[in-house]
Amino acid sequence: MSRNYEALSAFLDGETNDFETRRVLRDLDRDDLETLGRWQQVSDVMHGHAGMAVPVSFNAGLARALAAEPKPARRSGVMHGFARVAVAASVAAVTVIGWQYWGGPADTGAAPVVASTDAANDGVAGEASMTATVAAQRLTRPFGETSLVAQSAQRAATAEPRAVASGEQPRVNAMLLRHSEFTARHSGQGMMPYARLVSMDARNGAR
Amino acid sequence: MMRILALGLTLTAAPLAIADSLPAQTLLERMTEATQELDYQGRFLYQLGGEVSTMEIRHAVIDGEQYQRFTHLDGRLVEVLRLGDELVCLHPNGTLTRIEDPDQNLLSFRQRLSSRIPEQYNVLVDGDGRVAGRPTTRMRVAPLDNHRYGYRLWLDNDSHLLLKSEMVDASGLALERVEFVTLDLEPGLDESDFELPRVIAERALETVPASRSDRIHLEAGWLPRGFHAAEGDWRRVTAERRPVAAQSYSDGLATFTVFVEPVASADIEEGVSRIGPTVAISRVAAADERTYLLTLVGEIPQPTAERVMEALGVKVSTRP
Repeated sequence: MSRNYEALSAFLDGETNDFETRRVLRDLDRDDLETLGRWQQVSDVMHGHAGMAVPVSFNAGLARALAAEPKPARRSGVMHGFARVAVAASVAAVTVIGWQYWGGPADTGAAPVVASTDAANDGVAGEASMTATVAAQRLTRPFGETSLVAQSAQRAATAEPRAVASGEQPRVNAMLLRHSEFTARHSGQGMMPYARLVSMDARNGAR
Repeated sequence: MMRILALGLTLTAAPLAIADSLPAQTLLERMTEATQELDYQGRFLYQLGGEVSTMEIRHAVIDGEQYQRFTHLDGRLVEVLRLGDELVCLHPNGTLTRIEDPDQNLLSFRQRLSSRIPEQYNVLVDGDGRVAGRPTTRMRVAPLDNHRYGYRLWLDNDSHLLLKSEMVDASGLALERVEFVTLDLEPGLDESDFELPRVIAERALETVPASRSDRIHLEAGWLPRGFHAAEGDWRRVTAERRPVAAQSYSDGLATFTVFVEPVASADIEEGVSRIGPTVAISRVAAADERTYLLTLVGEIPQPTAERVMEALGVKVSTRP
């Protein structure tokens, strides 16, 4: 079966317009979903998330993922090897750029959800608002990185992120499980809490 | 001010919308009912920042009980199953964790939400869209302060199921997204579709009797407006660890949970970590000559979480 990998790749690159995005999503099938997953794995490796996605053999993981990748349509000959790397590299960039595209202006043409802080808070509201802005900027880093970092709680502005001790992970997992269970039953977040839990557990398992 | 703006948006958006133009409140009620009562099966993308996971969901009501199964389709197998009152998580290492929750007496916040939208949010219908090949109604849930995130929702016009959902920060940046790519509303599911796979080991997060847990009390010195203590319990991982107390808080949409555990010394890493909308903060606190580790896990902005943590106190009541 011939598959339109160029469209899928463009979709991941955030280079599809609204119409093409809808078409790609409409046509996605199980094979495409698996391909997306494989590309994401390559992306993790290329993006320096090896500790999270491919913990042991960084290069071997990359090589395997590339080897498993079918040849992109309409690319051949001398370009072959180069094109495969190009696919991987473009996906790597996508972990940031694609997201900004999806989450950016296309969806937020109307009023951003910045809220007034007058009545709802006390005098610290202004300060909290400022901090929220800074926090929002920090959030633009790829989430694969944030899943691994912890910042010192000592309020030092220059504190460098550092890795959480891996031995702590099971405890955090049990907490995530309990929190997700509560959230699913008592919040209006629909299926989000369980999807989040599955995704986080899969990430932890990949380490 | 925000409410007036939102009202303005609602009025502007009205001509664009939706054939039968149901009010936001009614749409949310129908969404809640559909999510709980319909049988469905579908595949969806779950995006956390730039990372995409592909998952399958099955949901069925069998003999009055809700059965739900989430399966991670790429990478290693992870599943979360809700089987009536029990939640089961199948981990990628082939082990399994169970949480039983027999206490179903509390009216869930989700049910409360469908009867009244929390006053810390504005909800408005702002157009239509298309998800998984199906026409949808788009809604916005915008917070009125900086202590919680907002949502963008796409509801199926036919079934009212939530087909796409984004949690967004104050700048409008999506922190996570669920988006269906396929949906089957007549999946013909039965109990065999929710059978547990074989596992190499099992553990349970058991509840511990209150008599052992009533000595530690959390005191929240500051909570964002609208948040209330919702539920507390005391559990431990079977025979592995000491019990950990938990207290959850919610404003009806956003939630966070604070865990309290006694630790041997203060030489424990305090810190903040974050993935998507979820923040986790650990802080050591002393009470009654003992040291406790407090950990907050929740989907609230980090500055808010830090402020809650700073004002949290642990109180130990004397043994009778």
